[in-house]
Amino acid sequence: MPINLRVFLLIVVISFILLILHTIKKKRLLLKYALLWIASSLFMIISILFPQFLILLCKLLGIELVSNLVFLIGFLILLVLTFVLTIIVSEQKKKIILLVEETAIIKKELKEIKDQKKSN
Amino acid sequence: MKSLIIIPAYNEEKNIKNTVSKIVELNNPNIDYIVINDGSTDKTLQILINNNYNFIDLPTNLGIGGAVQTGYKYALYHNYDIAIQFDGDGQHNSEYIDNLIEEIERGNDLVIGSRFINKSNGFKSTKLRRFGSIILSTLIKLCTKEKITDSTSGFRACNKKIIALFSEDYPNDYPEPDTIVKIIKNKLTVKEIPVVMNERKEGKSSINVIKSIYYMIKVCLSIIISSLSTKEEK
Repeated sequence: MPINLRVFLLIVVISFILLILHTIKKKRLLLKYALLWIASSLFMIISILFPQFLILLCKLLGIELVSNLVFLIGFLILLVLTFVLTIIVSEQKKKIILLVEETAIIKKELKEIKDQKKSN
Repeated sequence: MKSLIIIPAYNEEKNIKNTVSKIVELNNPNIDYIVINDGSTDKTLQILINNNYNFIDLPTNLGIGGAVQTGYKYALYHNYDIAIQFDGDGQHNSEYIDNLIEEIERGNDLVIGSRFINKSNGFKSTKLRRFGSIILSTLIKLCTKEKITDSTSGFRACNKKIIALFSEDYPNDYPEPDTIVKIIKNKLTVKEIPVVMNERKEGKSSINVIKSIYYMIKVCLSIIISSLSTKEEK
Protein backbone atom coordinates (compact mmCIF):
# COMPACT_ATOMS: atom_id res chain seq x y z
CA MET A 1 0.00 0.00 0.00
CA PRO A 2 1.49 3.42 -0.97
CA ILE A 3 2.51 5.53 2.00
CA ASN A 4 0.39 8.58 0.98
CA LEU A 5 -2.78 6.45 0.87
CA ARG A 6 -1.97 5.00 4.29
CA VAL A 7 -1.43 8.44 5.81
CA PHE A 8 -4.66 9.69 4.28
CA LEU A 9 -6.68 6.71 5.58
CA LEU A 10 -5.09 6.99 9.00
CA ILE A 11 -6.09 10.66 9.24
CA VAL A 12 -9.67 9.80 8.23
CA VAL A 13 -10.01 7.00 10.79
CA ILE A 14 -8.43 9.01 13.60
CA SER A 15 -10.74 11.96 12.92
CA PHE A 16 -13.64 9.50 13.00
CA ILE A 17 -12.55 8.18 16.41
CA LEU A 18 -12.18 11.75 17.68
CA LEU A 19 -15.68 12.50 16.40
CA ILE A 20 -17.04 9.45 18.27
CA LEU A 21 -15.33 10.51 21.49
CA HIS A 22 -16.54 14.08 21.09
CA THR A 23 -20.13 12.93 20.57
CA ILE A 24 -19.97 10.71 23.65
CA LYS A 25 -18.60 13.60 25.67
CA LYS A 26 -21.44 15.84 24.52
CA LYS A 27 -23.81 13.06 25.66
CA ARG A 28 -25.35 12.68 22.22
CA LEU A 29 -24.24 9.06 21.97
CA LEU A 30 -24.37 6.44 24.69
CA LEU A 31 -21.05 4.71 25.33
CA LYS A 32 -22.78 1.34 25.07
CA TYR A 33 -23.75 2.00 21.45
CA ALA A 34 -20.44 3.66 20.56
CA LEU A 35 -18.42 0.55 21.38
CA LEU A 36 -19.25 -1.11 18.06
CA TRP A 37 -18.11 1.97 16.15
CA ILE A 38 -14.90 2.23 18.18
CA ALA A 39 -14.18 -1.47 17.65
CA SER A 40 -14.60 -1.17 13.89
CA SER A 41 -12.37 1.93 13.81
CA LEU A 42 -9.64 0.06 15.71
CA PHE A 43 -9.87 -2.76 13.18
CA MET A 44 -9.39 -0.20 10.40
CA ILE A 45 -6.31 1.22 12.11
CA ILE A 46 -4.77 -2.24 12.45
CA SER A 47 -5.41 -2.89 8.76
CA ILE A 48 -3.78 0.39 7.76
CA LEU A 49 -0.71 -0.03 9.97
CA PHE A 50 -0.18 -3.72 9.22
CA PRO A 51 -1.51 -4.49 5.72
CA GLN A 52 0.33 -7.84 5.91
CA PHE A 53 -2.36 -8.86 8.35
CA LEU A 54 -5.00 -8.42 5.63
CA ILE A 55 -2.97 -10.40 3.11
CA LEU A 56 -2.60 -13.23 5.61
CA LEU A 57 -6.35 -13.18 6.21
CA CYS A 58 -6.93 -13.35 2.44
CA LYS A 59 -4.81 -16.46 2.16
CA LEU A 60 -6.61 -18.08 5.09
CA LEU A 61 -10.05 -17.42 3.59
CA GLY A 62 -9.06 -18.17 0.01
CA ILE A 63 -9.76 -14.66 -1.28
CA GLU A 64 -7.52 -13.58 -4.15
CA LEU A 65 -7.88 -9.79 -4.08
CA VAL A 66 -7.28 -7.88 -0.84
CA SER A 67 -9.84 -5.25 -1.92
CA ASN A 68 -12.54 -7.94 -1.94
CA LEU A 69 -11.70 -8.84 1.65
CA VAL A 70 -11.89 -5.17 2.65
CA PHE A 71 -15.32 -4.84 1.02
CA LEU A 72 -16.48 -8.06 2.68
CA ILE A 73 -15.38 -6.89 6.12
CA GLY A 74 -16.94 -3.47 5.60
CA PHE A 75 -20.20 -5.09 4.53
CA LEU A 76 -20.24 -7.43 7.53
CA ILE A 77 -19.58 -4.59 9.96
CA LEU A 78 -22.46 -2.59 8.50
CA LEU A 79 -24.70 -5.66 8.63
CA VAL A 80 -24.03 -6.12 12.35
CA LEU A 81 -24.47 -2.41 13.00
CA THR A 82 -27.87 -2.20 11.30
CA PHE A 83 -29.01 -5.36 13.06
CA VAL A 84 -28.04 -3.89 16.40
CA LEU A 85 -29.90 -0.72 15.41
CA THR A 86 -33.13 -2.66 14.67
CA ILE A 87 -32.85 -4.31 18.08
CA ILE A 88 -32.47 -0.90 19.71
CA VAL A 89 -35.44 0.49 17.77
CA SER A 90 -37.60 -2.48 18.79
CA GLU A 91 -36.64 -2.10 22.44
CA GLN A 92 -37.48 1.57 22.29
CA LYS A 93 -40.82 0.93 20.62
CA LYS A 94 -41.72 -1.46 23.42
CA LYS A 95 -40.79 1.11 26.03
CA ILE A 96 -42.74 3.87 24.29
CA ILE A 97 -45.85 1.68 24.14
CA LEU A 98 -45.52 0.95 27.84
CA LEU A 99 -45.12 4.65 28.64
CA VAL A 100 -48.11 5.67 26.51
CA GLU A 101 -50.30 3.03 28.15
CA GLU A 102 -49.34 4.03 31.67
CA THR A 103 -49.63 7.78 31.05
CA ALA A 104 -53.07 7.31 29.51
CA ILE A 105 -54.25 5.40 32.59
CA ILE A 106 -52.74 8.01 34.92
CA LYS A 107 -54.38 10.78 32.87
CA LYS A 108 -57.75 9.13 33.38
CA GLU A 109 -57.28 8.66 37.13
CA LEU A 110 -56.08 12.24 37.49
CA LYS A 111 -59.17 13.52 35.70
CA GLU A 112 -61.37 11.45 38.03
CA ILE A 113 -59.68 12.93 41.10
CA LYS A 114 -60.08 16.46 39.70
CA ASP A 115 -63.77 15.89 38.94
CA GLN A 116 -64.29 14.56 42.45
CA LYS A 117 -62.67 17.64 43.96
CA LYS A 118 -64.87 19.88 41.84
CA SER A 119 -68.08 18.19 42.96
CA ASN A 120 -67.10 18.36 46.65
CA MET B 1 -67.76 -11.39 39.73
CA LYS B 2 -66.87 -7.94 38.43
CA SER B 3 -66.41 -7.75 34.68
CA LEU B 4 -64.82 -5.06 32.55
CA ILE B 5 -65.60 -4.68 28.87
CA ILE B 6 -62.63 -3.30 26.96
CA ILE B 7 -63.65 -1.43 23.82
CA PRO B 8 -60.70 -0.40 21.62
CA ALA B 9 -61.65 2.41 19.24
CA TYR B 10 -59.63 3.93 16.43
CA ASN B 11 -61.50 6.43 14.26
CA GLU B 12 -64.91 5.01 15.13
CA GLU B 13 -66.92 8.25 15.28
CA LYS B 14 -69.81 6.63 13.40
CA ASN B 15 -70.00 3.40 15.41
CA ILE B 16 -68.82 4.14 18.92
CA LYS B 17 -72.04 5.67 20.26
CA ASN B 18 -74.04 2.68 19.06
CA THR B 19 -71.55 0.20 20.53
CA VAL B 20 -71.38 1.81 23.96
CA SER B 21 -75.13 2.35 24.27
CA LYS B 22 -75.68 -1.37 23.65
CA ILE B 23 -73.37 -2.15 26.57
CA VAL B 24 -75.08 0.43 28.77
CA GLU B 25 -78.46 -1.10 27.84
CA LEU B 26 -77.36 -4.39 29.40
CA ASN B 27 -77.87 -2.55 32.68
CA ASN B 28 -75.85 -5.08 34.65
CA PRO B 29 -74.28 -3.64 37.83
CA ASN B 30 -71.49 -6.23 37.65
CA ILE B 31 -70.43 -5.18 34.17
CA ASP B 32 -68.40 -2.01 33.62
CA TYR B 33 -66.95 -0.87 30.35
CA ILE B 34 -64.00 1.23 29.27
CA VAL B 35 -63.41 2.69 25.82
CA ILE B 36 -59.77 3.00 24.78
CA ASN B 37 -59.42 5.82 22.26
CA ASP B 38 -56.33 4.82 20.30
CA GLY B 39 -55.23 8.29 19.20
CA SER B 40 -58.16 8.70 16.80
CA THR B 41 -57.87 11.54 14.31
CA ASP B 42 -61.64 11.96 13.85
CA LYS B 43 -64.28 13.06 16.35
CA THR B 44 -64.22 9.86 18.44
CA LEU B 45 -62.71 11.64 21.46
CA GLN B 46 -65.26 14.46 21.26
CA ILE B 47 -68.12 11.94 21.22
CA LEU B 48 -66.66 10.15 24.24
CA ILE B 49 -66.40 13.41 26.19
CA ASN B 50 -69.81 14.76 25.16
CA ASN B 51 -71.64 11.58 26.14
CA ASN B 52 -69.71 11.34 29.38
CA TYR B 53 -68.55 7.80 28.58
CA ASN B 54 -65.95 6.01 30.67
CA PHE B 55 -62.82 6.18 28.51
CA ILE B 56 -59.03 6.25 28.42
CA ASP B 57 -57.45 8.52 25.83
CA LEU B 58 -54.10 7.31 24.48
CA PRO B 59 -51.89 10.32 23.66
CA THR B 60 -50.76 8.67 20.41
CA ASN B 61 -51.86 5.82 18.15
CA LEU B 62 -50.45 2.52 19.44
CA GLY B 63 -52.32 0.02 17.28
CA ILE B 64 -54.84 -2.57 18.42
CA GLY B 65 -52.42 -4.46 20.68
CA GLY B 66 -51.43 -1.41 22.71
CA ALA B 67 -55.02 -0.23 23.02
CA VAL B 68 -56.26 -3.59 24.27
CA GLN B 69 -53.30 -4.00 26.63
CA THR B 70 -54.14 -0.62 28.18
CA GLY B 71 -57.58 -2.06 28.92
CA TYR B 72 -56.09 -5.17 30.51
CA LYS B 73 -53.81 -3.01 32.66
CA TYR B 74 -56.80 -0.94 33.75
CA ALA B 75 -58.62 -4.18 34.63
CA LEU B 76 -55.59 -5.34 36.63
CA TYR B 77 -55.21 -2.07 38.54
CA HIS B 78 -58.93 -2.02 39.38
CA ASN B 79 -59.02 -5.65 40.37
CA TYR B 80 -61.61 -6.91 37.91
CA ASP B 81 -62.27 -10.65 37.85
CA ILE B 82 -63.11 -10.85 34.16
CA ALA B 83 -62.02 -8.77 31.16
CA ILE B 84 -63.94 -8.89 27.88
CA GLN B 85 -62.66 -7.55 24.56
CA PHE B 86 -65.39 -5.99 22.48
CA ASP B 87 -64.73 -4.16 19.19
CA GLY B 88 -65.77 -0.55 18.87
CA ASP B 89 -66.99 -0.96 15.29
CA GLY B 90 -70.32 -2.67 16.01
CA GLN B 91 -69.28 -6.12 14.74
CA HIS B 92 -69.91 -7.83 18.07
CA ASN B 93 -73.30 -8.46 19.65
CA SER B 94 -73.67 -7.58 23.32
CA GLU B 95 -76.22 -10.38 23.86
CA TYR B 96 -73.37 -12.92 23.91
CA ILE B 97 -71.48 -11.22 26.73
CA ASP B 98 -73.39 -13.22 29.36
CA ASN B 99 -72.48 -16.47 27.60
CA LEU B 100 -68.80 -15.54 27.65
CA ILE B 101 -68.93 -14.65 31.36
CA GLU B 102 -70.76 -17.90 32.13
CA GLU B 103 -67.97 -19.97 30.55
CA ILE B 104 -65.33 -18.06 32.54
CA GLU B 105 -67.28 -18.73 35.73
CA ARG B 106 -67.25 -22.42 34.83
CA GLY B 107 -63.46 -22.32 35.12
CA ASN B 108 -62.21 -21.66 31.60
CA ASP B 109 -59.32 -19.21 31.43
CA LEU B 110 -60.01 -17.77 27.98
CA VAL B 111 -63.33 -17.88 26.14
CA ILE B 112 -63.50 -16.91 22.46
CA GLY B 113 -66.65 -15.93 20.61
CA SER B 114 -66.34 -17.89 17.36
CA ARG B 115 -68.11 -17.19 14.06
CA PHE B 116 -67.25 -20.55 12.58
CA ILE B 117 -68.08 -23.04 15.33
CA ASN B 118 -71.70 -23.40 14.20
CA LYS B 119 -72.87 -23.11 10.64
CA SER B 120 -75.46 -20.61 11.80
CA ASN B 121 -76.44 -17.37 10.16
CA GLY B 122 -74.75 -14.04 10.48
CA PHE B 123 -71.75 -12.32 9.02
CA LYS B 124 -68.95 -14.79 8.29
CA SER B 125 -66.45 -12.38 6.79
CA THR B 126 -65.12 -12.48 3.22
CA LYS B 127 -63.97 -15.64 1.44
CA LEU B 128 -60.36 -14.54 1.61
CA ARG B 129 -60.51 -14.02 5.35
CA ARG B 130 -62.25 -17.37 5.87
CA PHE B 131 -59.49 -19.03 3.89
CA GLY B 132 -56.94 -17.25 6.08
CA SER B 133 -58.80 -18.45 9.16
CA ILE B 134 -58.58 -22.06 7.99
CA ILE B 135 -54.82 -21.74 7.50
CA LEU B 136 -54.43 -20.26 10.98
CA SER B 137 -56.57 -22.98 12.59
CA THR B 138 -54.48 -25.66 10.93
CA LEU B 139 -51.26 -24.02 12.07
CA ILE B 140 -52.51 -23.65 15.64
CA LYS B 141 -53.63 -27.27 15.62
CA LEU B 142 -50.15 -28.32 14.49
CA CYS B 143 -48.45 -26.22 17.17
CA THR B 144 -50.76 -26.91 20.11
CA LYS B 145 -52.95 -29.90 19.13
CA GLU B 146 -56.04 -27.88 19.99
CA LYS B 147 -58.79 -26.92 17.62
CA ILE B 148 -59.53 -23.21 17.46
CA THR B 149 -62.03 -22.36 14.74
CA ASP B 150 -61.89 -18.56 14.90
CA SER B 151 -58.46 -17.55 16.12
CA THR B 152 -58.68 -13.96 14.87
CA SER B 153 -61.88 -13.22 16.77
CA GLY B 154 -61.52 -10.06 18.84
CA PHE B 155 -64.57 -10.98 20.90
CA ARG B 156 -63.22 -12.80 23.92
CA ALA B 157 -63.28 -12.95 27.69
CA CYS B 158 -60.60 -13.96 30.17
CA ASN B 159 -60.08 -14.39 33.90
CA LYS B 160 -57.68 -12.80 36.39
CA LYS B 161 -54.76 -15.07 35.53
CA ILE B 162 -54.82 -14.00 31.91
CA ILE B 163 -55.47 -10.33 32.75
CA ALA B 164 -52.18 -10.39 34.66
CA LEU B 165 -50.43 -12.24 31.83
CA PHE B 166 -51.67 -9.83 29.13
CA SER B 167 -50.84 -6.76 31.22
CA GLU B 168 -47.29 -8.03 31.39
CA ASP B 169 -46.90 -8.93 27.73
CA TYR B 170 -49.20 -8.46 24.76
CA PRO B 171 -48.10 -8.48 21.11
CA ASN B 172 -48.69 -5.28 19.23
CA ASP B 173 -50.12 -5.94 15.80
CA TYR B 174 -52.83 -8.52 15.05
CA PRO B 175 -52.33 -10.12 18.48
CA GLU B 176 -55.23 -12.59 18.75
CA PRO B 177 -53.87 -15.85 17.24
CA ASP B 178 -50.46 -15.33 18.82
CA THR B 179 -51.89 -14.92 22.33
CA ILE B 180 -54.05 -18.04 21.98
CA VAL B 181 -50.96 -20.16 21.32
CA LYS B 182 -49.16 -18.60 24.28
CA ILE B 183 -52.09 -19.36 26.57
CA ILE B 184 -52.37 -22.99 25.49
CA LYS B 185 -48.62 -23.43 25.90
CA ASN B 186 -48.93 -22.00 29.42
CA LYS B 187 -51.34 -24.86 30.21
CA LEU B 188 -54.35 -22.55 30.55
CA THR B 189 -57.68 -23.56 29.06
CA VAL B 190 -59.27 -22.03 25.97
CA LYS B 191 -62.92 -22.55 25.10
CA GLU B 192 -64.86 -21.39 22.06
CA ILE B 193 -68.55 -20.59 22.04
CA PRO B 194 -70.67 -19.84 18.97
CA VAL B 195 -71.56 -16.20 18.32
CA VAL B 196 -73.12 -14.30 15.44
CA MET B 197 -71.30 -11.21 14.26
CA ASN B 198 -72.53 -8.28 12.19
CA GLU B 199 -70.93 -6.76 9.17
CA ARG B 200 -69.16 -3.49 9.88
CA LYS B 201 -71.73 -0.75 9.80
CA GLU B 202 -69.57 2.23 8.96
CA GLY B 203 -65.97 2.85 8.05
CA LYS B 204 -63.25 0.53 6.81
CA SER B 205 -61.91 -2.53 8.56
CA SER B 206 -58.32 -2.28 9.72
CA ILE B 207 -57.32 -5.14 7.39
CA ASN B 208 -57.59 -4.69 3.61
CA VAL B 209 -56.94 -7.15 0.79
CA ILE B 210 -53.48 -5.82 -0.09
CA LYS B 211 -52.27 -6.14 3.48
CA SER B 212 -53.69 -9.66 3.86
CA ILE B 213 -50.66 -11.57 2.64
CA TYR B 214 -48.32 -9.48 4.78
CA TYR B 215 -50.69 -10.09 7.68
CA MET B 216 -50.74 -13.87 7.14
CA ILE B 217 -46.95 -14.10 6.98
CA LYS B 218 -46.59 -12.07 10.16
CA VAL B 219 -49.25 -13.98 12.07
CA CYS B 220 -48.01 -17.42 10.97
CA LEU B 221 -44.47 -16.51 11.95
CA SER B 222 -45.58 -15.15 15.33
CA ILE B 223 -47.56 -18.35 16.02
CA ILE B 224 -44.55 -20.53 15.21
CA ILE B 225 -42.20 -18.38 17.30
CA SER B 226 -44.62 -18.31 20.24
CA SER B 227 -44.97 -22.07 20.19
CA LEU B 228 -41.20 -22.54 20.05
CA SER B 229 -40.21 -20.00 22.68
CA THR B 230 -42.58 -21.30 25.34
CA LYS B 231 -41.30 -24.83 24.83
CA GLU B 232 -37.75 -23.75 25.53
CA GLU B 233 -38.70 -22.05 28.79
CA LYS B 234 -39.85 -25.33 30.30
